[in-house]
Amino acid sequence: MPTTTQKRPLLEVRNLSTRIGASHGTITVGRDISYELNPGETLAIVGESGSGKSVNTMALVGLQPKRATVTADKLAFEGRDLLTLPRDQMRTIRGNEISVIFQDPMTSLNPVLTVGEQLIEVYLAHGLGTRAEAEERAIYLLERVGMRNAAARMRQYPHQLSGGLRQRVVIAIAMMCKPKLIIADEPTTALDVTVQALILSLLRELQDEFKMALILITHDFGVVASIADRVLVLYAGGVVESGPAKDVIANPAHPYTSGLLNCIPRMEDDDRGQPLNTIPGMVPSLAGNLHGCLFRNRCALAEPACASDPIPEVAVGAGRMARCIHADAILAETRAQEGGQ
Amino acid sequence: MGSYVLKRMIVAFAVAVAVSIISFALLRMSGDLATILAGDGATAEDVAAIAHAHGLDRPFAVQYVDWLVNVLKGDLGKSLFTAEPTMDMILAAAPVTFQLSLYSLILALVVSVPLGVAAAANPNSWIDRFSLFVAVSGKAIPSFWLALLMIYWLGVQWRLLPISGAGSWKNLVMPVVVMAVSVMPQLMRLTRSGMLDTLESQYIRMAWAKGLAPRTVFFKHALRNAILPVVSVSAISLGFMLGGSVVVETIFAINGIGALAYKSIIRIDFPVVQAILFFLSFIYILLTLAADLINMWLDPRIRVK
Repeated sequence: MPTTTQKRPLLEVRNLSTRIGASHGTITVGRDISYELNPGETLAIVGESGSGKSVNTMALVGLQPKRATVTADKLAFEGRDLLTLPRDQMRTIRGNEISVIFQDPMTSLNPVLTVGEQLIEVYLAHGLGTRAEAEERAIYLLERVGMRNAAARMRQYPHQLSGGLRQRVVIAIAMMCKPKLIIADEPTTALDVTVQALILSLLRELQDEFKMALILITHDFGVVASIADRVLVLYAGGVVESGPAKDVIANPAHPYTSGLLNCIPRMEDDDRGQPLNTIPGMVPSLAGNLHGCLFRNRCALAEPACASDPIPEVAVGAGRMARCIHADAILAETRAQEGGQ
Repeated sequence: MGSYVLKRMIVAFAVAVAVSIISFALLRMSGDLATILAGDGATAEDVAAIAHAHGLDRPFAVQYVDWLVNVLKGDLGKSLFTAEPTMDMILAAAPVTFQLSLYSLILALVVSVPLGVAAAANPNSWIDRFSLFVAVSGKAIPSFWLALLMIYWLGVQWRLLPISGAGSWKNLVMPVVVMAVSVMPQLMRLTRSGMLDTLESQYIRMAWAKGLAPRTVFFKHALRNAILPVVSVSAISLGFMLGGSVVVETIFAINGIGALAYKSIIRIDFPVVQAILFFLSFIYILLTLAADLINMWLDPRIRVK
């Protein structure tokens, strides 16, 4: 009789890479991305536009662009290898065990089908019950995501709903089959600021209630701070830092992470009239052979050693990692600053 | 919704009036009808008498209003040669033409829509190339040539089908195929390009993310959005076949509208030509209206606009 069983993570990703074939050579949009996700946990994947945060995450359920090739040493969902899974079996996972919430609710609902049909069909497609049961669950979920007159909303078309309501419908669709994991790709970016907070707290509530794991793709550290357990910072397709969200935000160990955090305008700083902080420079081209730290062209701490390959992962505390040769020094400095204040 | 239908109907009526004026004018601009009717050896007095007898000496506006009043009374004029009411001639010729055109459209849609969907679902695959080949061939092969080929092989050499006339379904096979081939390419390419656009959209990514079967994604989610322009063009194609089946009807000796129009033009039976033009434009307008209504039913967004 086993005394302790090692709890298996819900999702294990090891060295996920994504390459896109283009006429002028291969573009590597994801390099050796590794992480684990436990049941019920929230992981935020953070990065600026073009960091590959969407492509590499959608690749989990085979929704990468057609020209993209995804490789990984391990890509396991509850022990099942998602990379080699036949298409029809991948289909039984999509929308059923792993749901996706897309960024723009204005375009992610089909304009010619009723809200109700779009909710019900996913339940029926996965053979979870009769049409009547599907309808019952759809109405329950629409009410649960905060829509009044749910039964009447079922008969409406997407164009009759506001952006916030549409995103609630999309969330309800994602919940129809009681998934174990929801991938939310910038679920609040296209919404009004007032609605953003509502949708985020709704997501968190639902997640607690239904014990779902959540991968949240975002560029907004405010969102990370309010919802994520752990955070993975992507830059140019590679992980530059990962760890518990609180620790990473409080004491970033990678110059890129601190750069991103510095870009958030703060009310309390007396710097009105000053230009907003930005990270100078641009994301490098991802074509051809890449070596060394890809952030070095924009980094104040860059030195010749940053161009050598590979940049090692530095463990910087419990469950934390940073891919920077200066990580320890940066951490020591920020901690000293905090001590001095 | 009701106001949309009403608006479409008002537009349709305005188009009908405009088309009748233009067709009336065109016919009179095609030459002095009285001179042509009078023939080569006629004197000036003969021409004047003929012009007077048919009211051709009156001002254009008077002729038109006179004609329009008669049309509104249900009188489309009489043939100059048989003195038969043009309406009766058209109604006698219409059914076979309608049958022919409708079957052709159905055949064209049954082939082109699935082919277009398959081509869009697998771009640059063998099925896409095959569909392109079919489309280009359909466009490039003249109807009369295809008709003659079919008559020669299917009718004369192998004796599978009757080569002319009407009466049995077998008579319809060859003309229907010939007409379907001529309208199929644009329907197929339109389905394909509409599907390609739609398949790129976010709600189709969402449909895949839901784990739906490819059949459901293509036909339930994509096709219904992609088919709207195909509906509009189908209506126009049907109108085109109703009026443009002259070649096919002549070759297969079918006494339809096309054959009637051809015969009447040859013998300058201008009241009949006028009536056919009016009748066809009227049908065209009805078809366009029908297409608008079908699209309204397919796309809920049009209903509220």
